[in-house]
Amino acid sequence: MVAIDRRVGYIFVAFLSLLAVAVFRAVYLGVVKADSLQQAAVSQQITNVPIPATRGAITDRNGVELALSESAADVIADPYLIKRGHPMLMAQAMAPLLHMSVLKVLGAITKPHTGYVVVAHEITPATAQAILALKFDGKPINGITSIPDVKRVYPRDFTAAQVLGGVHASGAGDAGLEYQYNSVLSGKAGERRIVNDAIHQPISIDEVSPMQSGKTLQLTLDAGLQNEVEQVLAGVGEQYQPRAATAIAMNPDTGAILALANWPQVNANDPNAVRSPDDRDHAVADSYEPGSTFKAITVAGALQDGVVTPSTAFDVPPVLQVADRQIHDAEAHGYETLTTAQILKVSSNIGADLIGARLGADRFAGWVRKFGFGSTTGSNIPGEQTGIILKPSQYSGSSMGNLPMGQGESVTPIQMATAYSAIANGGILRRPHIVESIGGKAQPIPAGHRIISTNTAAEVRDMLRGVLADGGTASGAAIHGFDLAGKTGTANVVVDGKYSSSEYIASFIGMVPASDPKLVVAVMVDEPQGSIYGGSVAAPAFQKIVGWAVPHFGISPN
Amino acid sequence: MTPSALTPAARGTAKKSRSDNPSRPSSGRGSGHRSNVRRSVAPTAPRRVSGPAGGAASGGVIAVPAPTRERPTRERPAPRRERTVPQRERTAPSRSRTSRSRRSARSAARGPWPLRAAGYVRSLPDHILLDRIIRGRVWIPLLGLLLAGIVAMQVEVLKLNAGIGRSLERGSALQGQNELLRASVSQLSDEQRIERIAAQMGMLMPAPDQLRFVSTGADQAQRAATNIHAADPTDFLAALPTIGAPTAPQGTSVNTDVGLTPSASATSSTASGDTTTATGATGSTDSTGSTDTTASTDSTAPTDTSAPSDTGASTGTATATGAGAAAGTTQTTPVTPAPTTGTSDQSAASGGVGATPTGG
Repeated sequence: MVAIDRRVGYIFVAFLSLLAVAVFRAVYLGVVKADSLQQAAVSQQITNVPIPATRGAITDRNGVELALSESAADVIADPYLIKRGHPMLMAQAMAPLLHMSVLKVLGAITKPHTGYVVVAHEITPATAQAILALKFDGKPINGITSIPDVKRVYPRDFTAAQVLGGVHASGAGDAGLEYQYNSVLSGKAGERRIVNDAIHQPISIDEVSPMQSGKTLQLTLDAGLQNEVEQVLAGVGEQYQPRAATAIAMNPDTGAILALANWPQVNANDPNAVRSPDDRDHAVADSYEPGSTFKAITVAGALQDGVVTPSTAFDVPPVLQVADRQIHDAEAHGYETLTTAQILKVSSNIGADLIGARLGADRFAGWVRKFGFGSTTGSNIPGEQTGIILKPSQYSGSSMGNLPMGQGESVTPIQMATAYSAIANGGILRRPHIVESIGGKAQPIPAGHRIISTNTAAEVRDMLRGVLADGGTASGAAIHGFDLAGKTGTANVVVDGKYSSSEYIASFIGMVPASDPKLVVAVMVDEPQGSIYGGSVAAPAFQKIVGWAVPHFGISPN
Repeated sequence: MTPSALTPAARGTAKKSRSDNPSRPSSGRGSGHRSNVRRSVAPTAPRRVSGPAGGAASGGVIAVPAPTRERPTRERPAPRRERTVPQRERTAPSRSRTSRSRRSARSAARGPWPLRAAGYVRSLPDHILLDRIIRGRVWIPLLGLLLAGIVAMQVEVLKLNAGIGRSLERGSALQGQNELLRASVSQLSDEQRIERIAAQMGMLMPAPDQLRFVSTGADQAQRAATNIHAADPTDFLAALPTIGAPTAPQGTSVNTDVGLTPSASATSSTASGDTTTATGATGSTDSTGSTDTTASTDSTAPTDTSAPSDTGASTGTATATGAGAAAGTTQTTPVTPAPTTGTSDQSAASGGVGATPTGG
């Protein structure tokens, strides 16, 4: 019994000794080595992974993705850690996966005096996983990490590139709608805390802060029409080699922009192209003197004020002297009598001045403002210009000799399209808009306000029919069976304060069907080569666009 | 501090030992309340006695108060007395608390339900079942089971976390795939791409003035509906070589499904000979409506041919090249527009541009 007790005692002492050793070791690890071990544990076991916010998609009116975000990853190297391993072997293994040269990879992962080198940016997550899965001597790769990222992709490359804009490397929008609606699209990044076990298997994952995706921006653009308009402009660009060209298609009843194209085209996926001068959205950012397309505004104001009717006859001389200027028509003629409708049909400069003279400077200036010139349209497209509109007090003696026919004022293509939309929809000036809904929430259609009566608008449309009729300046753009109306414009470009005799802007703005327009299309070609006239350069582009759009949208053409 | 000092069992023990003490006859000592208390804890007395006495040997009949009362009284009277004193002192408060709680429980039993519930809760520590569990050996496996359960639960939590991690990774991967697919859908539905493919197959987009719109009435809707049938690309495919298009092995069927077949049949005055679908494919509403409309949208070829000079040549649709060609159109030149049709522009050119702006 005593022996047993002794043995039990020995065992007890042995256990006590072991316990003492364990306690001593625990105290040593927990007190002396506590800091270093804690850091090691945190770095090895706990990982705080940022969850980049998925930027909202941009779609057309039918949900076609024009811009979306894809998961990507950045490969980060720590040269301090890599130098302890096999840098050359690592470079040789990584290079083919990254589609880079071995030397380039080696240079990156062995960059001196730094512990953070971005070896590859925005690669696919699968590639990043493949790199992280590399092993040397049976051990996982050391010194290479992957940071999740989001890559902005424009699946259709060129489609509406200037409208969509682009994003900065940081992920924030820096141009176009990406910039304008950045707060809506960007979302909020989250963070995930992952605790790994000894074999790097996650045993605990906590969402420190949840990621919030950006909202989807649905545009009023129709991808099909947008493509067609861009294609037409590409044809114009190829044929006439202009400096730039732009076209806008609008629904006059709602102010919805169905297409907004620019030429030259840029590839939205090419960051260098996106930041080039060609990336400017000419439809809103370029001001130009509209030329004869502005005559419709003059006539509309005069009709509304009752100073003329469509059948009012004017004696049109070969030359009109206004102050110190002599006004000619594009086509030389003798003394002739033209009605208001005929003035529009043949685009008589002198006739427009005569109508403007009846209107008077003050009322004319009032109508210019009423049609929205001199201020932005409120389309929410970034970079929109106001144009330059003189006040009546700033008019010179000859101002009323050129303003009524579209010289002396500077407007943007979207202002012209908006003004013609007011004529098309029966007299209501409505703010153009390009965003249909944000995050699934439909944006209200701008209310607009009436600027001319329904009768006046109808009379102007009726007169504009003549432009595409036989003898009109755009008769070649007529489509059999289509009830079209529109106006050509050919304006001199101002160079060094003088009107150039060799550089012009050709434009055409029209609508279909003229009786109850459902589509307004404006085309502007800046400095075309070869032909310069709106009727020969811009009107055919209008014809093609309308010819494609009418069946596409199911619009009755007449 | 011994457990018996705290547990109801100890209180029961104290009561029992007090009742076992012959110097304190249980009957004539207290009031009716006390006798009630004793009766209520009566099962504890025989249980304590039956433990060492070997209840099994006695056949389970353990509630025999007389012998147990006599035995200790006779054999060890003095120590019992000594022991009972401190026990009585220790258990005094608990006894009074117990009796108090039971009194309150009884009074509460006659009161409203909140009071009854409170009384029941207060009497729980004296519950016989709890007493048995604590004093028996059941708690050992119970405790073991609980410990094992806790460990198992921790393991499950870890497994769940690992599963969540895998699910998150899988979700991220699927989301990435979804984004890629969305981009792919957008690329594949690109009209320009479809037009290019259609052009390779020999199809051309009709010129704007080659479109014809036919009026339809309400009575024609039913006829149109009956004429709608599934597209059969065989005729079209069979006709492909004859129209000079590249043989379209794979993508052809896909693209014909996209909508080329109706156009082909619409104008099939030539190609397929199936003229019935000309109106049937579409003509339902006045606004949109006509076969020509759909035919043009279905067809793709980019072209924008310049030449709208063939007005009237086609029968109104001119989509598939075969159809167009058969109908006499000359839709052969894709791409390049030839808008040299300006009228007054040309005259304007001669009008001199000079210093004054030109007209339209």
